[in-house]
Amino acid sequence: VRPVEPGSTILADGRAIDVQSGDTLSAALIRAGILATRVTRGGRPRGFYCGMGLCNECVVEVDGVSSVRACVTPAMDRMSVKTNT
Amino acid sequence: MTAPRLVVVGAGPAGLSAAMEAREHGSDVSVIEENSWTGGQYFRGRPDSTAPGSPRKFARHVGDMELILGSAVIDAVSGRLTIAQAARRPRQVSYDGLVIATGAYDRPVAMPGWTLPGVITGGGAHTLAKAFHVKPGTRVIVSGAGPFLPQLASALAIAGSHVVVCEATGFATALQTLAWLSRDRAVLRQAIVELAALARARIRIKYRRIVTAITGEDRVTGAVVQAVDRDWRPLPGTATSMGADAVCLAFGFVPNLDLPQLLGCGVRYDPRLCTYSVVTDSGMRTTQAGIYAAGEIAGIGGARLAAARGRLAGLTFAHDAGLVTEARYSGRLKTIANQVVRLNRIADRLNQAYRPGSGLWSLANESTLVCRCEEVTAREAELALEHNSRTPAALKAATRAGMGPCQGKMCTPFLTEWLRSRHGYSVPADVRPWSVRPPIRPTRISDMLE
Repeated sequence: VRPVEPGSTILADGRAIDVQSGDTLSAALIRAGILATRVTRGGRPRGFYCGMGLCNECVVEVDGVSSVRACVTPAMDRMSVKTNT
Repeated sequence: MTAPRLVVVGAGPAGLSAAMEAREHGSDVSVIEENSWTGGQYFRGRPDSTAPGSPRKFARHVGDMELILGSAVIDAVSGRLTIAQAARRPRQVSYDGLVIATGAYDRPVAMPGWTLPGVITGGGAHTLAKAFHVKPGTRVIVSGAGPFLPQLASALAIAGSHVVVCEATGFATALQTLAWLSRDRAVLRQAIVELAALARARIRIKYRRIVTAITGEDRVTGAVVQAVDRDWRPLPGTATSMGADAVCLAFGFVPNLDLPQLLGCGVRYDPRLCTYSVVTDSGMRTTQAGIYAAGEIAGIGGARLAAARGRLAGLTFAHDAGLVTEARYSGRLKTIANQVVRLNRIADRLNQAYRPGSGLWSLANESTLVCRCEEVTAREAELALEHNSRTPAALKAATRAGMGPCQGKMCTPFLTEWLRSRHGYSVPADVRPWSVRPPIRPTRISDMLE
């Protein structure tokens, strides 16, 4: 995992969130209290579950790319994350 | 003549051990790992460990072999794997020998509310706490069974959560297991360290209790905790509601069998583990020539056993490829096989003590989702069984359970036990291993067409 510089942030639905060195997107989002990151076809909220890239519950949109598994994606400075897409 | 090429899939304790062993005997080795780090889930939360199979042990060897990180195997035929890397075209990797060390994941247990944000697997919560110092919640209820619970609870407490632990087995089980394990110095030392950490964090373990339902609208707000009997069946009149903003479910682990099944390796159902695992001989050879199984896919047993089995798989490959003299082979085999036997005995004891009780398969009510991806309720699954000649294959076809993005990993281990325990199916006669089809990881359509 590439370390990010101190003071790095990601944008989660437009809100700036601090990122620590080695963070995955899930680690940064959950530290900021964001647990629900996806809505099912049935309209129900979901979030981080298995934490190892298998369940696909934590998928978010990153820099315009959809279905990115947040739990196995290293957070990088100024990444733009959209939840509940 | 070039050296025979061993490809190892999975860079956890088993995979790294297999790679180091085979390399030592002169094999050409490539290690493929889906994540961008080595050590697997176990060492992710223990970065300073120098235990067998750890990235620290592996670091000395890293220059001698090819390490392909951030690459997932999406398809495989005999002798050739297809791997996909982010932002790159998929490519083929051929092998003379293949060690599959794809590990295990937390056993999914369907119960009311288990799909709410804030319900996290024990393994996922442990990684958050240990690797990232992130607490999943301020008040966390851990429900599960086995020696992983104290580790998880103290990691959560250090990350800043207030933790309540519900252990499904009784206090007597803990005492008996500890007494039995105390013959093994390393295990005893670890147990003392963990119990001391629990005491420091003032965490009390509630024995013979499980979470039977999780409450909340859009995220977890609490859980129902109930006393259970020896078979983990909730006792009427014992339900208590507790407030919580996260619930961790840690009822043991199940092997990740997608790659071995895709390659036609035989699997068998182990009623003690309540899981399928890969069939191997005493040298970790699978039923497919040239393919070896290492670690948790050959049966759940923990990181030390995984590392020992990895060494055994690496050695057997070197032997089969003609790289080791008989004398050297038998000497080395004796050392490793003895370790495997000893660690197997410990794993058997733990698996027996913390075997899931049948009550665990009856928590789901009519509206509980049994398949998270395709949002299939227990009632819908039951109706599909009634109308479709009672076969699991028909259940899958009628409801799409197991056909979502997780490819059945989060539903089939539960469905197997639910069909066995609640609906009278026998395993494996009626509930055969669920089929696996490529791609075994989510893949771009453009990559599929390549």
